Order: sequence, then C-alpha cells, then structure tokens
Amino acid sequence: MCPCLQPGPPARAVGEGRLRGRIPSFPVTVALLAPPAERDLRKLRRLPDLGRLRVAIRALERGDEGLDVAALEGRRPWRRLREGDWRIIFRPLSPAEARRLGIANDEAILIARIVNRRDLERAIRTL
Amino acid sequence: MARTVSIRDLQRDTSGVVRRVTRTGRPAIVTNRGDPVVAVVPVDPDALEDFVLANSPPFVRAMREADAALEAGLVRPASEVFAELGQEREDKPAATERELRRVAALTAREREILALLAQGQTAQSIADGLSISPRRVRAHLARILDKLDVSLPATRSAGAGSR
Repeated sequence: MCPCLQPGPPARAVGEGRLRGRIPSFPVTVALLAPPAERDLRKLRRLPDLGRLRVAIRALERGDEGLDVAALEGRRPWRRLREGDWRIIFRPLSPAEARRLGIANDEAILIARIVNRRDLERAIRTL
Repeated sequence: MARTVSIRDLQRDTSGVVRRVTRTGRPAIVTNRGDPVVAVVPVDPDALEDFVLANSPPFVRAMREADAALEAGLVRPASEVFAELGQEREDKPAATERELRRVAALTAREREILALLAQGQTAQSIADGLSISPRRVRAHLARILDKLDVSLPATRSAGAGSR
C-alpha cells in the first residue's frame, strides 16, 4: 500500500503534543491585549496568521491542555506561548487586578507582545 | 537557562570558554559589555529564544508598557480586537475604483485569457484551448499587463507559466 494512502495521525488541537510539562495550563476567561500587542496584531498582513493567533489565544482563554507555554526565566510572572512561528508574551492577572477591571471570575491574562520568530533573531542584536 | 560570557573571556581562551559553555548544555551569548552580540553558541535553541524574549530590551519594555497600560485601563479584550480586525477586512472593498477602471479597459479576449491565466494555465494550453498561437497569447498577455500596470514579479510568474 502506498504510504500516502496510509491513514495519518488524528487531528491535533493547538499546541497538542508539544507540552513541555513545565507549566500546567490554567483556566482563564479573558485575554486582554496591551497596546503593543494590539499593534502587533494590526500589523499582520496575512489572514492565516491572524486566524492562527486567534485560535491560539482562544485556547489560552479556555486553558486548553497541551499548549507550549513556558515561564520566562527572570521575568516572572511573564510567560510565553509558542504557536508556530509566533510567540505570545503574556502573564496571568492577579485576582486583585482582575477584580479591579471588573472581570467576572477574577481570571484573565494580559498579553504584552505577539512576536514573530524573525523578530527574535533581530532582537538578539539588542542584547 | 542561557548565560552571558564576556568577550574578554573569549579572547583569553576562546576554545576553553566554548568548551565550558557547551558542557553546561546551555546556550551562551557572548557580548562585549553593552556592545552588540559578538557570537552565540546555541546549545538549546528553545532556551536561547526564551532568553531573548525575557532579556531583550524591546520585549522587557513591552512587558513594562503592558503593566502600565493595565494600570491605566488601556487594555482591550482580544476578542474585541479580533472582531474589529475581521470587520475591517470585510469592509475593505475587493478592488479600488482605479483597479476596476483598469479591468474595464481590457477587451473580451484579454479578459478571457486573463481568466484562463488565473486558473493557472500556461500560454501553450491557453493557445491550444483558443486555437491561436502561443506567440499570440503572449502578445495578449503583454497588453494585459500593460493595461493593468502589473509589476515585474507578476510578469515573471506569468512568463514562467508560458514556458
């Protein structure tokens, strides 16, 4: 039988199979975009990128298992989500911050930047 | 996690530093104290990437800016921004008036050839389908490109398709 006719692996959810086990996923309800992150989104030219990021951020909001999330060493509580070529820098809001913003169950995340891998290569020069 | 090695150490004992760094299993970023990065020994690219995200001034600044924006109540729900962006794309007209005028300037034959080209057909297959010579198709194509004021990359791909 031709290998191309063999049944492929089952469809995977965003980030599934790439969990490093470093940080358990957590349930949140609202993702908030800081102005730099909103600018990053508005700069996107390709519709598939926008769709992919939308799915990834929704998965974060739902607290899906298996997302490639890791803490940023030395910058706690900031974390990053890796989704394809994109890196989302975010942190969970403290219950007090969420309450102050009137978020129903005190659970939310704040997204600081949405960065492409190419920009990381450029950023290395700023170190 | 990644660590920073001074260029001075590197100058003293280049191979020794690299060997030491490699043995630790961590990436090392070699700098000259504030100067641009001179060399990178990436042992684990993922860790290096996280190091850049956590330590690069633009990202550190963005984290601070995000905290300040949160304090000032200048943050917006992602769902709202995505909905807005989706709406903006829907509101954007498919073609501007100038583009429509250019298309209107094409003859019926030119439009027919353009439609076939858009389907990915080559000059030869279009010529076969319309019972004209490939040379005639290319002449039509040149006029189409001229009327539409299409840039060079599109011309190249059309040329490639005509082979």
